[in-house]
Amino acid sequence: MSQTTGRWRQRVCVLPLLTIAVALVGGCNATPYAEQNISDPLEPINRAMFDFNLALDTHVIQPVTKVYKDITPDPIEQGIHNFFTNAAYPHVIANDILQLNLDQTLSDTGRFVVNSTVGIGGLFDPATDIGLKLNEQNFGVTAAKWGLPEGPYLVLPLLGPQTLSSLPDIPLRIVTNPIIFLDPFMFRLALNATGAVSSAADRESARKQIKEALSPYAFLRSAYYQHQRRLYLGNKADVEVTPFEPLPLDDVEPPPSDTAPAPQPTPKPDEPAPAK
Amino acid sequence: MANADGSVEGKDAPRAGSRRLNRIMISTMALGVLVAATMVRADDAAPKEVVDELHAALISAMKVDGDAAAGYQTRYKIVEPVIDKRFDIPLISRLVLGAEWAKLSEAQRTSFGAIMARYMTANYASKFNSYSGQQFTHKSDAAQGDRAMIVRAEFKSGSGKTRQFDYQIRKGDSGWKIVNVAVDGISDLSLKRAEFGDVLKKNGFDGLITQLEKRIGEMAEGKE
Repeated sequence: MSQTTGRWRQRVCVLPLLTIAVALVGGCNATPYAEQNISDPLEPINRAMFDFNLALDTHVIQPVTKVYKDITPDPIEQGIHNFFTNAAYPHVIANDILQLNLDQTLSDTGRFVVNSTVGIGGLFDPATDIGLKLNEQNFGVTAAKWGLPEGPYLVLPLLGPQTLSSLPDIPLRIVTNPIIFLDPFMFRLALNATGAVSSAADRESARKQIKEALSPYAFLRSAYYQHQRRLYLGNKADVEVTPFEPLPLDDVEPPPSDTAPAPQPTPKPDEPAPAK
Repeated sequence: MANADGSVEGKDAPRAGSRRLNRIMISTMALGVLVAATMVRADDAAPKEVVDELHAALISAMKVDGDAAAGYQTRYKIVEPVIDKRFDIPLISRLVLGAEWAKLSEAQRTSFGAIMARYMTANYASKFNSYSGQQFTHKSDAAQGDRAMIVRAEFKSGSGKTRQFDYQIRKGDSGWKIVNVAVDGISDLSLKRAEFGDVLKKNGFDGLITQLEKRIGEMAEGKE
């Protein structure tokens, strides 16, 4: 246990180095995760990875999650989902701290404590009922809050969409999960496998949407950037965040005056091209 | 000619007839004004009413009996008039095509607008296909400049999970119309711009039309 933890702690030390490297390469980013600024220089490789993930999902993950959903009663499925969401919650708290967000750190710590104790190890979610809402964070957002550019878009095998600056999220997610401290190895492995299946089952509806899209690759890339942008702007449901920021609505306003009758839309040569 | 009291008078008859004609004309005009006023009121629906009308149609569609395929046509017919009336299809079409719009002829633009309306209707008809107590609740209205508004609503699924629906509504010549909807912060228009842009790059405008027709057909067959 301690050896594994130590190893991961060493690896997590590369986080600052990697993010500094990203900062040096890319400079500061004024509009993090804005769709207009999507950088996908590795698109051919990313598309190959995306196709691999899609095939893996269709032939392996989907059949497994189907069996899991069929044999697991809904309340138990919900309990399992709650348990793994709670076990992964220190990762959210770690990002709150890294973002120097004191309010959110306290709220998320409170949520973790309440659900781990009153919620019986996280199987239940009493924290939501008392106003400690589920938060979502990742290191990509943290890096953006530090002013670092997100770097190029990447599609990783199994893990899916990332950006260069969000890569440290992978080790951070592992070292902050209490499951890593459990022994023996096989037990830890079984728990992680169950967690992966539960998480995959939870994303079923999103996967379905991706597969039904006219261009699944472009759909997921856009959805990923928009989601990251939203987390960057404010994740809490009660935060007034307009989700329409990237849309060029102003471009279609008739130029002379607002009071003039709106003409039929006419093409503008400088209209931004769709996100690439 | 008969007066209002039923009597008939020889010399005064033309005058009485003229008065009656005036009354009929006035009544007709009043009725016309009333109908026009009603129509104006319909077109002047506030942003919240526009969204409420869509939500009411979606709830009705969800309550239609039959599975994904069987009830599709009925759901489509429920949603179609609301999409046509309450969405700004020409603007949406232009925005989703981006720079490609400039390259299209008027005929292509018109045909794309028509297929866009069918594609959006098919999406709603295929996705909102079963009812288990789902409900929409209006949360807030927020002005976005002079001619745009964001109406926020909450969608509660049968299991109690909630999703945030933000509608971007714009005022044009024919009243307030929906331009975009974002679910939990993910803008539908942005997704479509990305998807359509990718298809256009690979297969061109005709390829996009072919793919849209194919997808509409799949949805009609019950493939959500």
